[in-house]
Amino acid sequence: MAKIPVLQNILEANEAIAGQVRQRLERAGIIAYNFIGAPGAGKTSLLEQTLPRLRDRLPAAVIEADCATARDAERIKAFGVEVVQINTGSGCHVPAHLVLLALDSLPLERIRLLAIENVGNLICPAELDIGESGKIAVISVTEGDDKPQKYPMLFRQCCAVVLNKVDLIPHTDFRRERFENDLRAVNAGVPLFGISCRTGEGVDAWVEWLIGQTARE
Amino acid sequence: MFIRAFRRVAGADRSAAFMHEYAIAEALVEQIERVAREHPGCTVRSAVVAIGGLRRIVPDILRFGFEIAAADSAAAGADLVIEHVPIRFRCNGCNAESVVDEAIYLCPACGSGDVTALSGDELMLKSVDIEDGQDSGSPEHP
Ligand SMILES: Nc1nc2c(ncn2[C@@H]2O[C@H](COP(=O)(O)OP(=O)(O)OP(=O)(O)O)[C@@H](O)[C@H]2O)c(=O)[nH]1
Ligand SMILES: [Mg+2]
Ligand SMILES: [Zn+2]
Repeated sequence: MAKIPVLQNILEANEAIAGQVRQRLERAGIIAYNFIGAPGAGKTSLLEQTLPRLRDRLPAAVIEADCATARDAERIKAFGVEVVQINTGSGCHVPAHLVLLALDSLPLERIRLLAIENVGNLICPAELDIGESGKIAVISVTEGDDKPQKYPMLFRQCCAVVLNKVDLIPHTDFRRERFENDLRAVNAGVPLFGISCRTGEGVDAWVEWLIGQTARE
Repeated sequence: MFIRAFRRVAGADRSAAFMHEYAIAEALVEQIERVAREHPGCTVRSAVVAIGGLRRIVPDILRFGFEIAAADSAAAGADLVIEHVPIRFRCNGCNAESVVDEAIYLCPACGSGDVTALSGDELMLKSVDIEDGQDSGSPEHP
């Protein structure tokens, strides 16, 4: 019997491809955000609120990743925005090689922002680099106020947190202060946007931040 | 534009919790196959992985996922040895170094959330134990 030493990161193959994605996006001058959140947190709703507000200000395209169906892509298409739907089957996250493939069918020379909606899941997408410029954590008040400590990988790495469905706070036991304290404990400086995709509350502030990020590039 | 990447997970529970470990198991099998290809005819007996506590991998679920992902591959039937790497933090407030059981980013000494992880995010294939196939059959071969 021979022991063959390897000492390699198990996700190394993915990381190499993520590097290729990042290089292509950087060359094209595109900032790419990876939207991560539980199923139903409101990732697609957030894009539906955001895209019309970006019109004439920031040309954008979308990659939608779901286990099955092209429903989310259909919702985005309604806004006249270029979208690629990826179906991951039983995969719980989108791997970098599918993003690389999707880039081939997007008009990279015409866009400045690429929004990638990851598969609804708080764990795996946070661990897998897909070549994004930053991760956006999307969480809704109905999921409870204890998530930052329970899913620290995501909340530590993300560059912004969108707290959605604030219109429902009166109907839940969500304590905003506890959520913020928990979040600050894992990520002291991260911008937090409390929004409602139902009423539109808070969406403008989020959109201004987003536009500001691309201006800084 | 539409991209499909269906994978077959024969009869396995498709819950997100399982898929998390399964995705890692799949990547692991690919890596082991690469090692096996460099030693034509070998049999893979076991693989040693180091997994940090921050990864929140459930060892039994990873082993189960590995068994499924390894079927029909060079890693089929191999043992998966999982070494747990404890989570170690250094507190940027009080400078204390501590080992914690749970992936909660709080200094046990002073309660500060401003901690730096020193270890715990490992996800590494350390080594693969193979038996060479070219040599005359070794006695312990079944
Ligand atoms: N009350 C309320 N409902 C919301 C809000 N945002 C989204 N919803 C609802 O929440 C449900 C899920 O929203 P989606 O945008 O599809 O969620 P998602 O995160 O894209 O879901 P997946 O792609 O399936 O993971 C829909 O029924 C939305 O109408 C909100 O701010 N307030
Ligand atoms: Mg969606
Ligand atoms: Zn301390």
